Amino acid sequence: MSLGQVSRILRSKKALVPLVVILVATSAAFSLSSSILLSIYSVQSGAALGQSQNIVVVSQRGSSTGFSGELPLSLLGTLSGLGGVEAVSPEVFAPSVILGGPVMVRGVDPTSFLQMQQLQTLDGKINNFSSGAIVGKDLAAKYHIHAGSTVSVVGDLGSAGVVDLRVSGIFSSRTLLDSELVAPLWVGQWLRGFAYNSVSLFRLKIDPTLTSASLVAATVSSIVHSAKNTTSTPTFLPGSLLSFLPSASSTSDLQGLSVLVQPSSSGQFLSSEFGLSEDSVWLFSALVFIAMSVALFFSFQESIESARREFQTLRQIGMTLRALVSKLLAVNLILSAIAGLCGWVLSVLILAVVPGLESFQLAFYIVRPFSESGLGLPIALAVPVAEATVATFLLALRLDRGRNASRYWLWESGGNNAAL
Amino acid sequence: MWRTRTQVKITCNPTIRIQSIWQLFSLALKLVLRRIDASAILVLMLAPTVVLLVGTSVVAGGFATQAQTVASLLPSGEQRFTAYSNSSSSPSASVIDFTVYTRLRDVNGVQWALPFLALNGTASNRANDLTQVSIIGTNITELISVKSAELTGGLANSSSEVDVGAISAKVLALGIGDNVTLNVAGEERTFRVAGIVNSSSQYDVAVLLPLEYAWQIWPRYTGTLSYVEFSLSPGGTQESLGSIRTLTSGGLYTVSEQGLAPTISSFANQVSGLIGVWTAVLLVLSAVIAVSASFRILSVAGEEFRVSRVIGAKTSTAKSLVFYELLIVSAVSVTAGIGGGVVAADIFSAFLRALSGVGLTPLVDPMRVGLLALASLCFIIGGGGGTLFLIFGRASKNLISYSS
Repeated sequence: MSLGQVSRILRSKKALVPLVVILVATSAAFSLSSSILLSIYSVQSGAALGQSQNIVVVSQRGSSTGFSGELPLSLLGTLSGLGGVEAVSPEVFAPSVILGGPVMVRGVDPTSFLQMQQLQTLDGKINNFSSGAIVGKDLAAKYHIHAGSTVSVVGDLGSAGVVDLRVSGIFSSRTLLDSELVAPLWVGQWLRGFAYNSVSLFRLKIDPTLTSASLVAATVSSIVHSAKNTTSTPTFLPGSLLSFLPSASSTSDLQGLSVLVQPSSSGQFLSSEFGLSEDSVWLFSALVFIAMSVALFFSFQESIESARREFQTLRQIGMTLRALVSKLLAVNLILSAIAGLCGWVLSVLILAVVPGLESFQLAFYIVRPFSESGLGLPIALAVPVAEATVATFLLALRLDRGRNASRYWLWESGGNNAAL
Repeated sequence: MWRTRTQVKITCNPTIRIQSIWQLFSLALKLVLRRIDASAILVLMLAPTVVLLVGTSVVAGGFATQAQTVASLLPSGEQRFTAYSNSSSSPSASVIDFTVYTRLRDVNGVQWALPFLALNGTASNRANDLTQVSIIGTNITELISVKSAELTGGLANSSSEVDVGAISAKVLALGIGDNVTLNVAGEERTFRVAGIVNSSSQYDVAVLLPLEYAWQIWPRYTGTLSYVEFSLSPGGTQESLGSIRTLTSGGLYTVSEQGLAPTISSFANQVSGLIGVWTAVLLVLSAVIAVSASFRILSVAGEEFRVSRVIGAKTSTAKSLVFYELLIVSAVSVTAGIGGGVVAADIFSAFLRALSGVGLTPLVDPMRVGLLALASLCFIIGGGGGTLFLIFGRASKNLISYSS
């Protein structure tokens, strides 16, 4: 009994074509879902604040997200003096609107920011944007922005009105930063509604051999805890953009301050306010998996059940269960693998062609499911193959239990004729 | 089905006639129930996509409601707007008539309005340090009031004086009483710094002078503005907005400082858009699975089709029998899918609450769920019915040759 004979039995029952069609469709749906969910997950778990192994983020404890807190700019001096800290970048995150769509504007000191971030120049110049702004490639692609464009930005939380910024360059960072607009620190402060002596957070570039996030946290906490109530004016390096900020006039700011080092990812905002968390992404994936698996399992069952008599007859005339199962399994696995591959290709085409799927906006970030589509291939292959294996074993055993083919045939044909 | 060469004498019983659609339907229902195992499998093939459709819709509805609730709780405060020419890409590049300002200022409900003439130029100090600046002609007194700005020194009140933004003053190392040279379109002119303005806005990187003096110094811009900023009082009102829309409908574009609420609302719209595309994909998938299910229905009901034709039923009657079976299976699948989807959404939110403490209440919108059910049913019946229609032709021909 060869594989070809088994597939001919299934084909004669018109079971093969529907099975292949369903396999391709569900593989495509799996692959599509996984690409979309993985891209959403990348936003949830992504380091939108810019933290990494040697980049430590210091933000305000108690704020709902890492970028919604407020810290005094005067903390810059304290952080710069910590052992093992190579550079400090004060940053302001300002949720804003550009050309009708939400955007995150990050106000920075260009010099210290570029020490933190490896950026690739795609257009124009990005090394000095003190009189304009630079734009991430995803944001630039979405709104057709290029070097030399002027963009108008309105802050969600400030009252500065419309701020016109001249784009000096477009960059790529291969991070969520590619969805942001980066401007001088004061622009972020205008749009965020901050005074000139406030920032959202600090990013520290550390030497991992000399210090760590936990050490920084302990040191900062002890400094803040012991700070006296004095007027402080931050001091900056000569030539730094920060030296052009109007002087801080308020009293300090360090006393009573509570900081958090390495806060959770940007997804915390979406999670706490809307329930769109990593857990919900995984749960939804599980829901899709279970639902599609049910359809797949019963499709396999249909194909095998349709040739039940033939397989039972084969068992009657001496074919071992092992041989039958192995042949069925081989046919189903080959079909699943081929259909899974076709389904993945179909999903990639759908992602590339359907508007609204190639890239879409999630909160302030632009996600591209197409870039995650490669990860959909193992899923598109693995799930049907696993389903095929489980379904074949279970159903073959079921076939074997009802091995009296004659009695089944008589019962079925008698029942059907009686209905008419 | 086993083929035999046995001669079979078939007597056509003239009493077997289907009188009504209801009889046919009840017969189809009996056949579906008689083959309960096979029918259940078909339902389980079709229902999961409906479960996903409904479950996703219910969860997304809850998400959207939650987003709207959050948005509505955010304070809205004073409504501020910027009006400029809709043929320009930005306010600073726009050119509008001064009368736009006077008309906006006079609209009932407008708390304040400010005219702005924005010119691009360069500024240099005595050390000839050059920097790009915006030169803004406006009502400086009102600007300081509206922006709650701090003024060090005095207001510029002649054509030879300017007020400099706090950041520009630091960049150019300018103090009160210093001279600054402005160059606009090749025309150079030196001014005295009367004051330094700290407004925590883009005017801190600008040089300000009264609008009438700007027109006087650069007469080609006389009677024109770049944009107008204005504000509606907290109490006002749809009527004010209506008047403003009428005013600005001819060639003006109005941008509002909207606060965070519309942005958060837009998040819900983003998810809705994605769900819409996902829904379309699932509907197509359900049609595809229905095609497969119809093959199975035909292979099982095909025997009944052939037998019914042999004993005298019309072709249309026999086809209708099979179609009704598809209809019944589809209806049961969609019904099961709706129930399953609502339950799945509840389980989803319960798990979410248990895992991460996040409360997301699913929203069952009967209208939306009904529309999804109807769409699913149409796609399933369309896919399955179309397949049956295509296959029946061949089956009919085979049957004719068999019975003759």
